Amino acid sequence: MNMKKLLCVALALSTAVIPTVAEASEGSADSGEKIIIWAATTDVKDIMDNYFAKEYPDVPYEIQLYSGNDYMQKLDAVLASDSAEHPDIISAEVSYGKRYISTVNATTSLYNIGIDEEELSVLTPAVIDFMRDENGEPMGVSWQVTPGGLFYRRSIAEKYFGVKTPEEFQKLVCDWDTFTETAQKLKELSGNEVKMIATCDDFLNPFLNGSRAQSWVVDDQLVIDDAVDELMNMTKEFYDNGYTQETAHWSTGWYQTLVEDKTLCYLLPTWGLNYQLEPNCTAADGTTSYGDWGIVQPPVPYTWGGTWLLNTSKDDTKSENIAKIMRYIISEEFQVAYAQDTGDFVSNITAQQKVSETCSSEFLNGQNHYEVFAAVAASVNPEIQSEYDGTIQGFLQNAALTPYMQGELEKDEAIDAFKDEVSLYYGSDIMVD
Amino acid sequence: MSGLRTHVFASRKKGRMKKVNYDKYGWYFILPFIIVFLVFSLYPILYSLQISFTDLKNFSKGFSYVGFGNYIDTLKLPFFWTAMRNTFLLFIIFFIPQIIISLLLAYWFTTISFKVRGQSFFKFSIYLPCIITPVSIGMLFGLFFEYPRGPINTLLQSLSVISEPVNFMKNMDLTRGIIAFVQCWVGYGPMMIMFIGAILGINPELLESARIDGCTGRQSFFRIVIPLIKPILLYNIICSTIGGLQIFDIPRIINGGGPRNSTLTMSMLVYNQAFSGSGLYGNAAAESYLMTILMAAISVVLYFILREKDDEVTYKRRNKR
Repeated sequence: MNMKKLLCVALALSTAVIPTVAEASEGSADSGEKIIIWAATTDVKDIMDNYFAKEYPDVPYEIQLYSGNDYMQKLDAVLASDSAEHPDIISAEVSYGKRYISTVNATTSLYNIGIDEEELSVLTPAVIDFMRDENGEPMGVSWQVTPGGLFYRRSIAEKYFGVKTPEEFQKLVCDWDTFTETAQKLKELSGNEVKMIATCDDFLNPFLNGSRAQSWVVDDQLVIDDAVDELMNMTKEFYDNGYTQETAHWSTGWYQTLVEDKTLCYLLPTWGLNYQLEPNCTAADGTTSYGDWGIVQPPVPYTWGGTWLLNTSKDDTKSENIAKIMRYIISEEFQVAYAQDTGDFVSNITAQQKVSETCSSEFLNGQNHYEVFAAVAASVNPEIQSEYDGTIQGFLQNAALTPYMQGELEKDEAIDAFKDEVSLYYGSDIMVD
Repeated sequence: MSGLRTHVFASRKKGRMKKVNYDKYGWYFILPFIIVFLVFSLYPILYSLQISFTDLKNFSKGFSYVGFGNYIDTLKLPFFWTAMRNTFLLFIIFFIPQIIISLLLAYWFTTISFKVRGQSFFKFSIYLPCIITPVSIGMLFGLFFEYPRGPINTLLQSLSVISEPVNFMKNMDLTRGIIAFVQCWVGYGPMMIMFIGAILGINPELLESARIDGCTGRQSFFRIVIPLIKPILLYNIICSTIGGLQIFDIPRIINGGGPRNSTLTMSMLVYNQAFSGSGLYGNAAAESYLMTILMAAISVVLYFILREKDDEVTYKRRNKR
């Protein structure tokens, strides 16, 4: 009878618990002196666990990894709170990072933790300048610079165009007109078996973060740059003429194209090499395209992505350890080792030069990709990218670009649909014509 | 609580009968849930009502009251009506097959003359989809129908049903059909279980005597079973309507409301307005309350249409003495 009563009470209490059960988070609730780091990508965890922890085993930290689409929502909630889970460092990408400096106002200057301009001068200037607040104070650092490149399959290039070196292939993709002509020739020569690109998504960043000259929002007004029109024209032309495999970035179909011999070009940035291409170029049955790749400069220089670590700590007692992490991330020793292990294009200028001298990627058949990226990096600056970029470009792609490309909407209708989306979700914050 | 039994037994004092009321224990058992509800649910409900009358945004420094401005703006918003139309359309497409299939399955499983082997296995398999998380199901079906090399496209091409891959998510009707199918597939299992319970509560002698009198299976189903399980049917219809008009996770995961907002539901609109762009909390709260009013109205209408017209209350009212 006692067991029955106990069971009944336990069941009754469980009805109280059920509505309050939340997702289990990593790490213990007691943060103490731990530096709490929130990250959306695994490379931050990789850097901290495999590099920083070995250099500074006495610095306690805890990484909360949120790889889903709701990272920003979760960040917004925790940054607005004073909970023990408030992060001291957050990883933020170029498409939304500035939001945490201005609108959310959650960041703390690196000057406050004892890092000065002289220490930061080792980095590519654009990397530090991008994450400065309105007073010019730096809010975070990045270990990487992310210029874009054009990766191609050597065997396909040789088979249909007779080119054997990247220098020869560069002539086939030196500008957009030549790129389009090459796509047409490839279709004819291969009997429509081989396509120029895997997805029209490849054009987004070259046009929007390469050719685009104006920010999306200027004086609270939505600005649609001429590059948007060029992007829509290019996308429609490739789709209508069948120059694309019609997959989408990071879809199952896209990954399949990496292994097959049916797609020639991929417009991807620095992290595309070590984060997407190399880990996914081998199928389960052992078929691989490893070593059959090369890289050249894209038809227009562009930048794509980039992850920063921003200082969001409200606890002065952690300043010393946060400064250690920031200084380590920008150090030449770490960045040389990381670049040699992963092939990532690093932000420390001296490290770039050192790696560039001896860089050779087996995936790229021994090619020195650092030389290519360095040439592109010199021509791009992410400064026009704003806190609105990620969201507004998503609206552009879903509401305008895709329906126009697929023939569902005329161009004017597509642009109007895009404007309606911006107006719906930004209200009076962004004025739309 | 008045439905709980009270025990009546003779006390030691001659002639006196003592009643022991067990009602209070019912309150004790539900008290924890009520406390949690008041703290974690009632407060957000009332707070949402408050901010629906303000211009509060995500990370805004303060807010000011705008009266019914958000409600009027919402009613003028084309996206709101698009979302409402999509929600009702999706609901009708998935709910009607869901209730028909679950009723038929429940009847077949409970009919003695149908000797269905492996009933337990079938009931378990039919129920299984509802215990898988909706996000997992949404992602799974999104991958199934991926273009151009998803499993469905590959299968249909290998069977020569299609010669070229089909971009399911580009077509509004196909996307709606896929989402409706998934919603139906997830929900018909628990509905079937409830109907089985209701049918098993029918006195088998009624059905037996009807069969002896020459009643066919179809007549038995429509003339005896359906009327007798009407309360459960009403409950299922109202709960499914409320739940169905709030569909969010599956359409969001499968195609994010696309193509071209053709599968954007009211809940998705509320979520998008609150958690993307500028985070328009006031507008999102107003939309959510308009949804609440709509669902309450529909529930009341359904209740009055489907309720038992010869219940005790109605009988007494009609036969006042």
